[in-house]
Amino acid sequence: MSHLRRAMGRYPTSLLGICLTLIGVSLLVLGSASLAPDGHLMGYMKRQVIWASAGLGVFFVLSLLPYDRITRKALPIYVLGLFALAMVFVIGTKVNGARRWFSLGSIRVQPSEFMKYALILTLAHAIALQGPRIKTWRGLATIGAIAGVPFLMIASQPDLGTSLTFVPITLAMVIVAGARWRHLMTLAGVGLAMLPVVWTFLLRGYQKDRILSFLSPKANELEGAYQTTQSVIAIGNGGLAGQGYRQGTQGPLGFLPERHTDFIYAVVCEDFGFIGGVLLLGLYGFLFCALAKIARNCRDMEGRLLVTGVLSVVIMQVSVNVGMALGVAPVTGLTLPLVSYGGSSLVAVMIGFGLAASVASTRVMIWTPADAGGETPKTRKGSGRLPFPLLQKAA
Amino acid sequence: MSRRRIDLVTGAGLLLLTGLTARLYGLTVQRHEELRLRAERRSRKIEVFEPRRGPILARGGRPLAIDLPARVVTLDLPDLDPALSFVSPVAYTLRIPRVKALRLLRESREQLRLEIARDPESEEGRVVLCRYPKEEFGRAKRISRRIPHLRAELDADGAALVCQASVLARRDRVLARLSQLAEVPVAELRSRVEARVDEVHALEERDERLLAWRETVAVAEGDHADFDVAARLSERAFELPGVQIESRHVRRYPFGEVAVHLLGFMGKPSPKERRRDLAANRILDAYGDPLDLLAGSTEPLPNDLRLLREQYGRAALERHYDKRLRGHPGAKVVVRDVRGNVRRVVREEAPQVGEDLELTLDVDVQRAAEAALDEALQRHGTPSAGGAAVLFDIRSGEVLSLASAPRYEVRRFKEPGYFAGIRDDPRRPQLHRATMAYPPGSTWKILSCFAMTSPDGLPGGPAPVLAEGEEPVEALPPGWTTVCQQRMHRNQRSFTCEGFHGRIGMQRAIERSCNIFFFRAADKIGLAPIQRWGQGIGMGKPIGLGIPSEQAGLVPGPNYKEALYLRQGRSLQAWVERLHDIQQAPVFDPAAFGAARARLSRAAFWYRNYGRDRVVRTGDVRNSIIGQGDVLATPLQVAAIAALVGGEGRFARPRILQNEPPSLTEVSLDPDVLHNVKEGMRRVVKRGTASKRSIGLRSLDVAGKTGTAERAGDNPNVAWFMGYYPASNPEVAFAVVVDRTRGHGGDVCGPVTRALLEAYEKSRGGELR
Repeated sequence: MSHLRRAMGRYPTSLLGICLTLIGVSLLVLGSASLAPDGHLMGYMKRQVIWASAGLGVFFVLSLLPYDRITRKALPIYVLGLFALAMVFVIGTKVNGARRWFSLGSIRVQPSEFMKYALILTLAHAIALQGPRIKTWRGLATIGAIAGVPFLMIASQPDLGTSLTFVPITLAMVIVAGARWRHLMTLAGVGLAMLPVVWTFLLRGYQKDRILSFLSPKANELEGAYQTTQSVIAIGNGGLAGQGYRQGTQGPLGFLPERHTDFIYAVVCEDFGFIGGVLLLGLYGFLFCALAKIARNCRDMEGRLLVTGVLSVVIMQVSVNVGMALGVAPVTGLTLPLVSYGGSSLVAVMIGFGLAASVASTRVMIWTPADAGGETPKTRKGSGRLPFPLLQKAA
Repeated sequence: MSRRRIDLVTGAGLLLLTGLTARLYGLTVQRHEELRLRAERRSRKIEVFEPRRGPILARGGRPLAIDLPARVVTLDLPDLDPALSFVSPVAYTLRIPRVKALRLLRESREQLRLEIARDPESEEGRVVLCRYPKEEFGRAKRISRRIPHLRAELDADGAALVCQASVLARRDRVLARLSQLAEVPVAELRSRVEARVDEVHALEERDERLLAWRETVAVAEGDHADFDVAARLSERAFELPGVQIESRHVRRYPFGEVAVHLLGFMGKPSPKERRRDLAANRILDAYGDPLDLLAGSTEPLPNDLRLLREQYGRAALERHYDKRLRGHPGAKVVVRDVRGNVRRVVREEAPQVGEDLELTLDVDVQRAAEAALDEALQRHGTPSAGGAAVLFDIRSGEVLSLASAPRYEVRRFKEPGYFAGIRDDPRRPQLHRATMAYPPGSTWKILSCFAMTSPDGLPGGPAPVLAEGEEPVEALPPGWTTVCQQRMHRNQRSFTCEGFHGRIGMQRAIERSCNIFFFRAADKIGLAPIQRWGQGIGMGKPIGLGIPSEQAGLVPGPNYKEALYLRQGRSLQAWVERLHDIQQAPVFDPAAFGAARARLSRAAFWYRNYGRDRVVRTGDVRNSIIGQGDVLATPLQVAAIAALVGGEGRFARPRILQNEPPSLTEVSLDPDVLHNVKEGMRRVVKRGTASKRSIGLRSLDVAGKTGTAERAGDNPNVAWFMGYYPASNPEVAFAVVVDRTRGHGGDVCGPVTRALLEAYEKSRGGELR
């Protein structure tokens, strides 16, 4: 049996730096996006500060915790998540024919956001536990089942958008864990074959709408095409260097809907142009790389998977949200990490970063009892040296 | 190994970012201009202000046509009928095109109307607009949240979009009340609103989704609300949502039917014209957004910027000088937000008021002339008679009267059937007889006197060009006499005179209007001199008043029938080609074809007519010298002949615009001939054909010439009287014509002349001499 030892790893300053920068950008852009048509400043900036503080708090707490402590609790967290999702069905409030959240007193609880991270934790733990079995069909199936249950629960809320995000997460983690390409290709083929069935029997009306209107915005749907069109116009209006801070027409005049959440990228582009848009994308690129670096540096499969999960979430959200704003992706509710206004989504993302930070700051060592003789724990891939004193002896 | 896979995932992410950057570049750099324009169009709006149209003024600054502020009742459609905003949600929920949804809504409305007629209580209930499957409920709910008064409900029979019946019925209720108060038939209001709704929806289809639209419908076309109506409506504003009273400029004609033919009237563009203007991209669309006009440019707005709803000149002067009178619209480019509130003004241009059009007409003289004409028509006219009376100043050319009868009233256009009635009226009041050409009859003889004594044309003018085989005509001496035995013969036709005059000279020939005298002269000189003199004075072409409807008249020359035949032939050819074009057009237009064919058959008739007999015979020459046959002249042209004599060879061409400089025509006339003519014309009134006491000219210091042109068959005559006044020191020349009358020149037109001259003197502050 392996034992784990923990030590201080490198504190992820670059990750933290990028997060802070993004939060700063968010406040700046919200300053423009919260300009109401009649000129007054809505309260988004203020509230974002509160949420950002909360998020940063979560980040710090998590970053100082050893992650394997957390992953050990994966199963209870998973079950709690499923329970919360079930509660949605039972006591959830129906809004527009969908049940996505329920209220505890005066607090709105939307489980699907958090389920994402619960799933990442669970999958990381489960895959790592499986070890090499991931290369078998059985292993894959197990993982698929673990991911599948919440997927179905969320999809039948119905919240296809959020539930679909589970697929890339699972996929990325499975790939990094070492699944065979052959298996994955087969699965992909089966998935494609299932598409017509899904379309006919499982998709609801407005969901089909969104896809259709995304494919041809000229279909003049009242909802989907309008938002995308306005967003595209706003971005195009920005030009190379933008119209200037708060000088956009689409934004401040109110033509662009949801501009503080879904379409915040359009506000960035309208105000700061191509340059601003590229800079923001670059910032996210750095974010990807920072997360990747943490994953690479981690000696432990579990940690790596954890960070991979977070990385895949971030990649997905950024791509889909920016794609939405640019008119190349259908309109879903995915927000731009840290920059979009949004309480629960911001905190959820910070949970993810907190976990990644935790991975970064914890150096895990594994030593076997066979080495007990020397009482010197070795690192797995022997570098032979410990930069810090041991924190704790494993039990 | 998993490190590589991590890199793979990261790489995929970065690849996505690159792809997004490429798209970003495409939008922000490549499509920047296009999207910037769209953003601008979204947020900018041009508000256009109509300037006051320039007035048309008569002499002394009295307004003949003027823009006055008036109250116009308009309907604000979204306020009037909130159900109009249901079309989009219904279309969206049922996934049908908007046109179908509109129809559905109309049916619901119809049904509701019937229900309310049966049971007025049903106006309180709820109306199901459409039903849809339960799965769509969320969708319908989402969209109906944004529309006031519309709800998506689940009931026992399934899911439905519902609204309060009173909302759907509001339009009918308000329109009914409005028609009561404003005294406009309710069917008319309904059809106007429906037409506008259709128009708006058709425009909405091709444009981006409209967030708010304000649409107005004028309650009465081109008209204004009486003060009472306006007061009544504003008192009851609470029960008439959507009904507004706006202040607009409305074209008024304070003198009613005075000079109605000359002034013209205003009207809305026809659907074809509206389409043409829209296609030319110079018109603002219904929402006040200029099509493809760059709101950000600094160029001045084009002069043709006009609102779709504007009235513009449709006939005569209003039409001919429309651009001048219209002025230049003012515009304000504003930035507005999604709710339509104006945030700031980008550019503002003040409107330029239209130019005044000053006419030389004198209102009192015109009015008196018109009244006198009406009386003459009453007394001497046949049912299809008409007449004109013109008066102009010899020295300055100012036309003081251009009266026409019968007339119509522009202010009665709003009466149903009035406009069509004018067209169908056998008296044909729409004809502007003052500019139409008639056979001048014996008034032409004045010109003939000069022609016979100077057959080479106007003295001092160029030498006449002689055709082949033509010999120069010998001039008749001023004192030339001949014998009138009341009857002449040629080719089995007899040419008669009014009386047996015996030996007669020029003076008496004019005084008594002897035909034989002129027939014999005609035999001697032929048509060429008449043509030279006629064309030298300005006959045969329009005087150039600036009115498109002015006719040219006809001065016969030696081969005039050939020329007419050729012209008719060309006209025939043109109509044949036009018919061919219509037949070959990609879309066959049966109405145009029918009209063209009618014109073609008429052209063919005249072509055959002239073709049958293209030889100018003695009879034609004789007829022409006395102003019958094919000779045609407008009243102003005939008056010009009088002016020639009165001014002793010097007169100014008639004009109606005050600000035009007078253009003089100077002809040096043989003093003996002039003396004879003047004396003859004076005697016409004292002793001759216009000397009856009942006419009332005898005691006045006026000189003139009567004329009675006969038409072929038993058709009534064209009666004339022309001359100048005062005879001793001529100031003005006049001509009065009455068509289709059984009377003679002096009897019919004389009293009109007296009234005309009386009015003239009064306007000068003098007495009739």
